[in-house]
Amino acid sequence: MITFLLTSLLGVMLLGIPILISIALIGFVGMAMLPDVVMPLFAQKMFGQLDSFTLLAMPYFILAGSIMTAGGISKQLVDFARALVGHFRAGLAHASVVGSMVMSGVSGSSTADASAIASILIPTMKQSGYKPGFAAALIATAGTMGAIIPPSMTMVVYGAIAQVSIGGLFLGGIIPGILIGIALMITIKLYTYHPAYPELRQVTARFDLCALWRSVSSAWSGLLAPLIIVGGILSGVFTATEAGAVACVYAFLVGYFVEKKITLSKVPDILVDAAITTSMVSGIIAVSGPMGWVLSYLQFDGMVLSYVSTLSTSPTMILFILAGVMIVLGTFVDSLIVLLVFAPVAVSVTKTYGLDPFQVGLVMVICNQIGAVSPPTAPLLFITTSIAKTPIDQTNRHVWTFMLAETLVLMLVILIPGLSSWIPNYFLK
Amino acid sequence: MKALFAAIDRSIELFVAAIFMAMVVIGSWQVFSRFVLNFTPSWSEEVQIFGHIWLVFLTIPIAYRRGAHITVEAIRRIMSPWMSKGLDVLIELLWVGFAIATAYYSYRVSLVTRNSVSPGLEIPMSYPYYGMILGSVYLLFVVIRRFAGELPTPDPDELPPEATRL
Repeated sequence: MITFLLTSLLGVMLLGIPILISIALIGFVGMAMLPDVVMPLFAQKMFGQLDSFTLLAMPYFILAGSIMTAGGISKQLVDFARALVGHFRAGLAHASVVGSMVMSGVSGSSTADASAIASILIPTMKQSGYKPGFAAALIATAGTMGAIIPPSMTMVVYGAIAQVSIGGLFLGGIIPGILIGIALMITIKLYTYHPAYPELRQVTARFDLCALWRSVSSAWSGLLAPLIIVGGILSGVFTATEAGAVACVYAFLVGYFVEKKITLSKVPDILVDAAITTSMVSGIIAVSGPMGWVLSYLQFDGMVLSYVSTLSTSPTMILFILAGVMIVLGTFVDSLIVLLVFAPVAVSVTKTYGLDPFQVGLVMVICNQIGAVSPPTAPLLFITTSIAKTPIDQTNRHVWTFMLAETLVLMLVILIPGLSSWIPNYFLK
Repeated sequence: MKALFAAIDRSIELFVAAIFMAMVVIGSWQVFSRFVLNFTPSWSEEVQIFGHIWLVFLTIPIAYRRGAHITVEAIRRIMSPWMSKGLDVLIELLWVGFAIATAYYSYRVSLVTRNSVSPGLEIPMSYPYYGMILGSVYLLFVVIRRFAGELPTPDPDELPPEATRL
């Protein structure tokens, strides 16, 4: 029955039925097929899935990101990144990585990061002779840091389902997120030696301390936001959910009183737009309640675990296998679904093999993000490619090198647990 | 009639905005209250959780109306026009089924839970389910309007990319 349900899910999703409806349908059919199940459980499990205080961090960070974007923060952060690293060879490429990194501290969403940075930088990169496919692939991969550097919606989803501290996951994402940024910058550096990329050897700007200072003074509100969020969680002043609410108030106060780019008349539409993004994700989480219940009733996680145990007994190998399966599935299926289906498996793996929950969480989130840039089902590539106005083949041709860099960081996170677990375990105990 | 429908749509949107605003204010008040007034309100977490449930189920129809729900479009792009049209009808029927199932079963659960009281707010536990019922009824209302041709089918290619997923 599990095989029937999961293949049906894959089938209806690939057919083009909205993911929310696909999951609700499979959950409903699964419940109806089980003996002695009272169908009102369908509504009760949807309620149960949203009956979580930790999950509230998601709408709050979505709203904070929307308010800051409405205040024009993306452009200021990109200007800061260009002032910081724009004087390097392939300065614009490096600026796109640093820009994504600092934007990640504000938005918490890889999609928001990729679309914001791409729409600002890709036109300039194209003017400077960059190959559009290269620019689109790089910015899409750099956008994945949005879900790894705190705050992160993906971590909120995983933490709420797997019952892992979201604050801890946020803190665990700092080192891997920075490592991904460094890995991408090293990849760009290697590209500069490639004879087919002469445009990357150009130096188009000179370092100017005054310009850097001007950009810092203009982007201070965006640069301060992650410090408030991470600082607040580190010091125990507030939980991740409360940090989200505080971030919204902070973003509004800065946008309204300091930057003066948000008017009261804009507020309802900003709230509605953020609510739509919230409902698209929280709606899927809600309808995954009945499906998750059916899978757990049929002991899906136990079956996967017992199968994986026959392949290896080493916790590190188990993590590698889990990561491999998630990445392969993420190339064909929406990576949010893979995360929702595999989160209970990850919890079982964590408990059975005594792994650190933050390390497992980070592995899950990074795999999820690699899935989001791996063709053919790669939403981040679709976004940046459409902005770059280039054939998707051109982007796909370049994305492998950047994916490889991110995969190497994933392997480091698996092999060295401290990279993802040291900060949360040190500060939250 | 069109003006009335537009007024209903806008009222729901403003109601959602008000819920969201209240959640943020109460969430921030919770931090302020704990650190400045040395007092943590017992009801604040529950208000936010129930608010989130209302917000999600009331906004699912708004997202549907704007065609914002996440969909894998790869196969549809290679479908013939009549197959694509058939798929659209199937999708609308599934939305109708989802709305009816959610409204009906939420109502059934609310009948049971109205006698139990939430620990923080001390209100009947049926209240969050009322949001699910209201949202589903509104969803049904919107889907029927699309069936009747009152609402256009949105083009997925025209959506803002940042509004599509995590």
